[in-house]
Amino acid sequence: MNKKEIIQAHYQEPLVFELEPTNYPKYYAPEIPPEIMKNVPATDKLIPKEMLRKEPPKLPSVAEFQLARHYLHLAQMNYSVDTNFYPLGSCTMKYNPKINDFLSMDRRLSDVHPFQPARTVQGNIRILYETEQMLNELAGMKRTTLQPSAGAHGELTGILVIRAYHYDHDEGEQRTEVIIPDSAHGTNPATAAMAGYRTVIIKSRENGLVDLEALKAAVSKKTAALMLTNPNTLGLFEQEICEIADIVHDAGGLLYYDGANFNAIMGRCRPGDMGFDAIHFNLHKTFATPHGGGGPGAGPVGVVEKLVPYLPKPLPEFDKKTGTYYLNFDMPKSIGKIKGFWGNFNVIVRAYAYMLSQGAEGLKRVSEQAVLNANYLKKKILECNAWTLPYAPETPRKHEFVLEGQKLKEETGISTLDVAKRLLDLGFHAPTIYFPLIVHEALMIEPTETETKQTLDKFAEAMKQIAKECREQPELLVNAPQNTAVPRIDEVLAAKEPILSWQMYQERQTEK
Amino acid sequence: MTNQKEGSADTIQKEMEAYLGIRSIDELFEDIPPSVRLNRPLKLPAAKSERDLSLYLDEILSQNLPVTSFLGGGAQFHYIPALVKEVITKPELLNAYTPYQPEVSQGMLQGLFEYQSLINELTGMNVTNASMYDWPTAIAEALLMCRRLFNNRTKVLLPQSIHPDRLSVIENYLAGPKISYELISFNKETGELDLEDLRTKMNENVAAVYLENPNSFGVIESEAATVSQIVHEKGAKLIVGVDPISLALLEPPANYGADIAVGEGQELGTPLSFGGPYFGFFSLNYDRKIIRQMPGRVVGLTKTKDGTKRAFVLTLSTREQHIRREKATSNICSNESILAFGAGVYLSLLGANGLRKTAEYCLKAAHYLASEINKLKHFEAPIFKGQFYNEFVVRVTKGTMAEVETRLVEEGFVGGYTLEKCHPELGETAIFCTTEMHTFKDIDRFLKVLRKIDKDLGGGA
Repeated sequence: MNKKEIIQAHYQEPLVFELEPTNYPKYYAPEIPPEIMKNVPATDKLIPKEMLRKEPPKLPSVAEFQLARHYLHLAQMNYSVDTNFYPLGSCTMKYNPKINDFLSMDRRLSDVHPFQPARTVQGNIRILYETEQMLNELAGMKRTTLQPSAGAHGELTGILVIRAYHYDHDEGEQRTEVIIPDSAHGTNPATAAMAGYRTVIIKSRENGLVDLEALKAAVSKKTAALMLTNPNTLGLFEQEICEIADIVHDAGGLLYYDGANFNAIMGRCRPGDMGFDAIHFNLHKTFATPHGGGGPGAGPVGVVEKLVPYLPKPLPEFDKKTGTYYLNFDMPKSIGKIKGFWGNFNVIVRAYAYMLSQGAEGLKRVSEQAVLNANYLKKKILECNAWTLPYAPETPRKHEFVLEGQKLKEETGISTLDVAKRLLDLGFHAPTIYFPLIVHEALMIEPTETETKQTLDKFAEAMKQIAKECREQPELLVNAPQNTAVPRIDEVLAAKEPILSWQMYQERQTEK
Repeated sequence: MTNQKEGSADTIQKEMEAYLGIRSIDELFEDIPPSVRLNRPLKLPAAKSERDLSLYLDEILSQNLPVTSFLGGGAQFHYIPALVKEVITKPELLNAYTPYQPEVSQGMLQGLFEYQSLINELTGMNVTNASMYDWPTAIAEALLMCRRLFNNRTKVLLPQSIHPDRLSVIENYLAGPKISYELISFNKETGELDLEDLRTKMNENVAAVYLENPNSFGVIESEAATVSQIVHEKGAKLIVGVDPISLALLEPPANYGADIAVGEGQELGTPLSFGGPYFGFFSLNYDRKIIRQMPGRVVGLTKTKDGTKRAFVLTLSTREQHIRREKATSNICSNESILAFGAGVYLSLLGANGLRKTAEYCLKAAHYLASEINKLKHFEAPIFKGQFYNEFVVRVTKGTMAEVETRLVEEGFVGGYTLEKCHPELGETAIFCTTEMHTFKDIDRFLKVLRKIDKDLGGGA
């Protein structure tokens, strides 16, 4: 038996509500100035009596030192890309340079209100302006809105812009369908549905690419758009992209590019040159902004010239005459706003810093290394002879690849879920699993460019060890993980008897 | 044993290429059709060293003018305790993805579970999701959710006082599912929702009514309970937008019948950052059926499979896009987790007393400022009789608010958010906001400038 390795702290950490109450040392909120206290009536005179809170909220009564320990313990039970390899397919978990975080904390950025007059925020608008210029060039687009909060939010923005275009050309009522390949991210069909469209799913061909015949059969005067990511979720480049674009455009539809996989192609080719009309970027993926355990992200949307009038407002502009930057709200055909204010500025600043520190050459190099790492790791893992590479096995992948665990499951009974959990035991984050849906027992692996060959080799060795364990010590997999903060979690129980808060937990305790 | 490092970085790259049987990385890109290849360098600046990047950004930021502002309108300047900043920049939390593998993500999951529970204490409900993008999108998603709870109700009602940006976001979200909306006017005297107008517009086609409390004029809706009654009599849902810090003083929305509470979480430990990222909170009371329509991620408490330990996990995910695809409750995937986590730190550190004191500061500073402005000859504040929290509408009766703003900026101040575009019927107005960041000195200096401006406006009205 392998000896149990500890790869994470194991605390029985109480909930913040369960920490021992103390009022020493207490937290001092600022005192209300005496001049104000003197001149203003008591609180209960300032609030309508029916709206005056009767019972204070039951917040914890704890001291800073207790919380500092509490959150340190929580952090020590959390895996991050700063911990180790994070090959989560489609998520581009690259290293986030520290300088970007430091710069984003400058008070001249962080303490600025979004409604301040333009003359007081020239620097900030300039950052928006220059970020946009760089994104336009990278994607081959005319203009880019920085407003959307995340990738899915960018998708919604892009599809609403396309919708506005069709309505402006009197085809809004007629174009009711969005075409999506069966390999697409779940957000694509969810976005199309949210924007009021019927989704038409087209099957991938045996080589994993869009089936041109199926696409021809699917397009019609009802087609509003095709949503596509290129390279697709199998990591394969859609080689017939020009034909795809022609088919959709000939039917009067537009092409939307899901930018989740943009890390594969920077400086090599551009969505605009491939015939795409709109694209979202995931700044938290390609442009190294921290994902914060789920967010924030930022999902700027770039568009070709004919869609520019419909972009959310405002767009940042530079007035050459006066040499000043401003936000342009004068966009009569704009869809309006998709979120409050101008975008996730603090995320945008980090992406801006990232692009400036990489430069033109560096960004191209990012994609090259990401693709080299993916193909290297793919070949290494295939040597285990445990997983297969479905769809066009001879074609190089781009930034990620998808393995199939069906054969392994049939032979040993070990599922991809078990493999993923065992990887956690061996000190790695698991790949994305069970996606895309067109691969059985899928393992979607994206190493990114910021990993050494040694790390890739170690990960491949871990996979080899797991392949062996599947046959020789399956209990290690079925019972995995054991070395993590907690062993395998009962997710079915969580959904069957939901306890979604401390309040529900207490209710449940009293019922018992 | 680990392998000894051999050779330079370049030889390692060559080794990898040799292993793949390629002579150059270009071969890995050969399946890109030549016609779409970019055969020129990107037109982007050359790489900057870390030093040069810092200097460059410093130069750009020196173009910003430091000002003391009294702006609110959906984003407020509050103090952020050092602990909050320290916790949310811990690399283990900041540089993690969505906790898809719960066994190695207990820290993030527990912190979010605590956040959910802490917000519940403010709203009086027992479920809060793990965050939405911001307040406006939280309102929009709440409206969509209410629409899904009914077969045939296709309309929603919104307050006319709502901030125009929030309304614009809502319009975009309502467009797809073809939900129509009507605006309920406000009482011109009090600034509160016009109950008669609400009664007139309520019918069996209305899925939800959205109320803000305090509303976009800063006015506290004293008759929120009556609003709730009117809405529920017709079987519709009530969504209430609240200011989280104000809830230390104001009734929790659940107590006057709100079905969903939403709001801007930025106040709770997130910097202003010129507008984002912020986060929206989204609360409701647990109901087995209704919860199935909730958008966004939610963390649940469960056990380990061996039954030995309490553990946390993202749950009820069959509502979400990665499982349900086009039938999902929302397309939201990334949210604003680390900011929500930070709000949990903020609320835990301040506690009920700290939060109450902060809220009272905001409230009283606003009342002091309003009463002093009201003493000026050409200014009225607040223009509504309804009681207010920390925002209030100011009217200038001579000249324009834009002129006043220009003068203020010259003196290093920014006043309120002008309402001329969205509410021209109110005259030359702006909405001012105070928080605990305004010292007495700030307020006093600001008033001196306003007095000077008032004087310069001259004698007649």
